[in-house]
Amino acid sequence: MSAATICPSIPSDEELLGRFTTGERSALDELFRRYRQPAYRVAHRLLGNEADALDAVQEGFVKALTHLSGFQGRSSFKTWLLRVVSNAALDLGRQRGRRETLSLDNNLGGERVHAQLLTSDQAGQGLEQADLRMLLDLALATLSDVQRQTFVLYADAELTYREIAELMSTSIGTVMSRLYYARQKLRAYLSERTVP
Amino acid sequence: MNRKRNDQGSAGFGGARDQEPTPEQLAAWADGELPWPEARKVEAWLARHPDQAHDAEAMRSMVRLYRDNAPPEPSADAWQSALDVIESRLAAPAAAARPPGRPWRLRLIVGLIGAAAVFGGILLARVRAPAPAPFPFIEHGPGQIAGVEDDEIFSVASASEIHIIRVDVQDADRIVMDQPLIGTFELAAPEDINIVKVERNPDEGPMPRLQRRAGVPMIVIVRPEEEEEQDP
Repeated sequence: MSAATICPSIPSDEELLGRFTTGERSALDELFRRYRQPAYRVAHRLLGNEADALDAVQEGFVKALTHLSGFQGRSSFKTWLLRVVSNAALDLGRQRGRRETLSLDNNLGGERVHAQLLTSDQAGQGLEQADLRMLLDLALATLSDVQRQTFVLYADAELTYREIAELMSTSIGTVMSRLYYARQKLRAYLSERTVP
Repeated sequence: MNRKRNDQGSAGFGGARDQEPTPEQLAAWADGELPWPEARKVEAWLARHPDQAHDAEAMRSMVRLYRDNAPPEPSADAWQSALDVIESRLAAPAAAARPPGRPWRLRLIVGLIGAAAVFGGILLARVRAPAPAPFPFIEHGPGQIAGVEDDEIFSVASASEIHIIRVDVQDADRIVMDQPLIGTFELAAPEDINIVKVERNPDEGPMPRLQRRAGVPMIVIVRPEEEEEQDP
């Protein structure tokens, strides 16, 4: 359900896209404000740093809006945008060799992270949380591209299985399978690197 | 989650009273993504096997772990700077359509193809070679191939099975570079291929066996099978 059906004063994505195509700058601002966060989270998870993630977000918005004819309302704009952003991020990651960098386990120095961190109660643990984020990124780097993309679209962009299947041009069963095996690998990786 | 997979996979779940769900189904149930008839069966199974509930919880907690540790947000200035770049790139559509470097490569490819065509034409004129014999197979008209209706169009590959590595300049605006294909796309002209045989598969329709005409450049690479579905 679009926001416009809840509150008439909030324009739908379709309205904003229509206004964008007529050259209204504020429509782009609103679309960017609306979807920058999920796009950035997906890109950051796939690339591991803010600068590259912002590059991928920029690339994704530009491509998604330049090629609206390819979108044609077959899915939501969010799904279309995240498809382009995640593909741009994977492409950028390949160009910049993120996986090789991460595989060095830099900054963690091979130390084990205390399992206590693997809870949601982490207030006041800024530095340790940064380590945990690094560990989570390293775990993601062990997955194949399609597994990482699937997991990140589910966990960070909060897309449904159906939306991910549409986005990746595959079946819901495949999404289900990728998510299961992705979590198995993440769990195995993290359990080896945490202490009770 | 290391439970033994049931022998019948997802299709077999729900047949016998105590048949366990697959690990994938249990994970989907934990995500709230299983359709309700199947979800109800999983719940009934978990009610009979409460010791297995931790598997579902482990799946859920992995997602929660990542959501609770989302990357830190960029500053307001960084967001504004990103928006400014997007606006400036969209203001120059020709440059925005392709990432940096690609126009140079595209021009080089087009230039090389053009140069090759000119060079080939000059050579051909000098040698005055007879025109090549027409490709023998293109004389097959519609309806002449068993199993194919007149003007029938069928897929030879799905979008996920191909990578585009080059696009003719006249087609450059028809696709989003580096993105999966949307809808159908013509990979070769009819005269570029020879249909050797067509078998009508009851599940997938006509399945042609193709042969490229000599001299037609290869433009697609078939991806290897994905492996993650075969993981233990």
